[in-house]
Amino acid sequence: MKQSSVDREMTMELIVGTFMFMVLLALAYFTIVLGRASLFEKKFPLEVEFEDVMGLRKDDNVVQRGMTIGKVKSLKLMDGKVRVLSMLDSSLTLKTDYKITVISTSILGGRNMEVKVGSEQASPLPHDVMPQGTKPFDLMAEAAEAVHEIRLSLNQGGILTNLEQSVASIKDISGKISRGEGTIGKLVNDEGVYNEFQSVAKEIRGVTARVQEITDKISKGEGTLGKLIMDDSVYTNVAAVAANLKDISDRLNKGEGTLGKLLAKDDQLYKDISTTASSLKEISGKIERGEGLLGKLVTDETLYNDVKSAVNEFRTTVDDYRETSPVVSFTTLLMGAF
Amino acid sequence: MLLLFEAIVCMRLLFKRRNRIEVLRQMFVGGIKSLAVITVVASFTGMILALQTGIEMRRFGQEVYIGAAVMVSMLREMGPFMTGLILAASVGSSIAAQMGTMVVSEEIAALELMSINPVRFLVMPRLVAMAIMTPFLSFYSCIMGVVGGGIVGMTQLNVPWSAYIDNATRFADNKDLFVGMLKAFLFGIIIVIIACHQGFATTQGAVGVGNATRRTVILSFLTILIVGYMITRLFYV
Repeated sequence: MKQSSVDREMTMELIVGTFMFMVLLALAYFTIVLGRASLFEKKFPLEVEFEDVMGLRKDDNVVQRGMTIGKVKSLKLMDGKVRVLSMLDSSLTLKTDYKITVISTSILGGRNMEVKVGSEQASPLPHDVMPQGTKPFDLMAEAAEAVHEIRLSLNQGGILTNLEQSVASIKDISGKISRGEGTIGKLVNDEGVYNEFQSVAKEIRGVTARVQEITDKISKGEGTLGKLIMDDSVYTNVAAVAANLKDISDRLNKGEGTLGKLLAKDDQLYKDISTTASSLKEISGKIERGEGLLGKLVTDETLYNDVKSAVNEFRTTVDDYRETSPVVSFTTLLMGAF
Repeated sequence: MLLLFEAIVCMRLLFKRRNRIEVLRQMFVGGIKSLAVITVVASFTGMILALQTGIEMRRFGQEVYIGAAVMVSMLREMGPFMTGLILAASVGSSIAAQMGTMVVSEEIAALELMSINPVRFLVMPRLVAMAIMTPFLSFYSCIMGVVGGGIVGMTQLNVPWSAYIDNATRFADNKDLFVGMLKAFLFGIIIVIIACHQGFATTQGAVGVGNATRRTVILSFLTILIVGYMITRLFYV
């Protein structure tokens, strides 16, 4: 009986001890996990200075290209800046064009520290230089500022006043329209204006019908305009004239024909004509001055008279010959027979 | 309160083997025998939490965060609270009935007649046992709740186990764990003190025992709620 009691006590102690041991193990594991303590992994510290961390907290993730590479370990206010110490899973080599900023994880909140190490071409950041974080973009703050500026411009920039005035003007205009004042008011309210518009519209319809008729005639090729538009012969003639003109201009360009030669670039014909003209001028000058036979003929009266009398004498001689020629011919024939 | 001080004073006697065995026995009776009900209640508490929060969060596509919701609420409130209620209903009522019966049947008077301090003999082992076991049971219920929530997340909400656990451990911290265990520790002491006090104050025979049991459960529930709120306010506000 006593042995049984001892056994029962042993069993009870064993069960309680096992339970306690297992819970203690689980408790130790949870304590390590919830404390984010890594006992066996090597961590690499990265200290960054920020002007503003926008609510970044301890244990927030450090991300690179969207991948978590570490956690924020502590944040301290130092010399008007916030110094953030983070522990990374692997070491990072920052380049001179690096960028480190605080980003929002979702619209509901939550922050991550994003690290961009920089381009491969850039030189590495010296070890004694403290990396500086860029000012984060706070969507809510920016939105609030935008709303504030809109409100300011509405109130102080006179937009609101202008809007109010515009609304008042529109109200005034709509009142006038509804009262039938002005052209639009009459259009809306006056039956007579409507009727006038009706008659104008009727006239416009008639004009349109006439225009339609003219265009129909043109399209049928009737009348001068119709022929001009529809008949190809006019176009053909014009084209032929243009071709002729082109041919003429080509010949002129080539220096063919008299006009072409006149227009030719070498001026030979012009020079010839000019020389001829000067020669003629010289000859006429000589004639005028009474030089040479022609000059004397023109200017000397005695030579004229001599020539005239010579011609008269020649004419008389010819007349005599004509009168005597049958006798001569008969005598010749008669004498010839002997 | 006097009962508590006297029990604390008697703790120096814990080093005696006889008292240690009694404490172990009370731990077994009060703790190990409650494991089954605690397992079921805690698992379903976690499952309900995961399902309710997951359904709402799924509307915003954020159901992956149910791990955080379940873990934080279990560690901070639900674990200690549910454990406290279960122990108050099962162990507290049992202690009150036991003490009340002993008072009614004048066993306590007999102990005093034999110069045995009933506080040392009856209250101290139960107090120590519950003070030790309740935080452990509370932590155990948290684990069960988180596991239950994870099962619901995987089967009902399509949340992968790794994502569930990652979020659960990311948003909770050691403060949540140890403040929850402190609550459970205080709940254990409250349950034993109220139960023993009600038991020792029992009168009128069997009816009195019943009344003592009923009052123990009611007072324990109310005290657990009030103390739970005050500790939360003390540590989180």
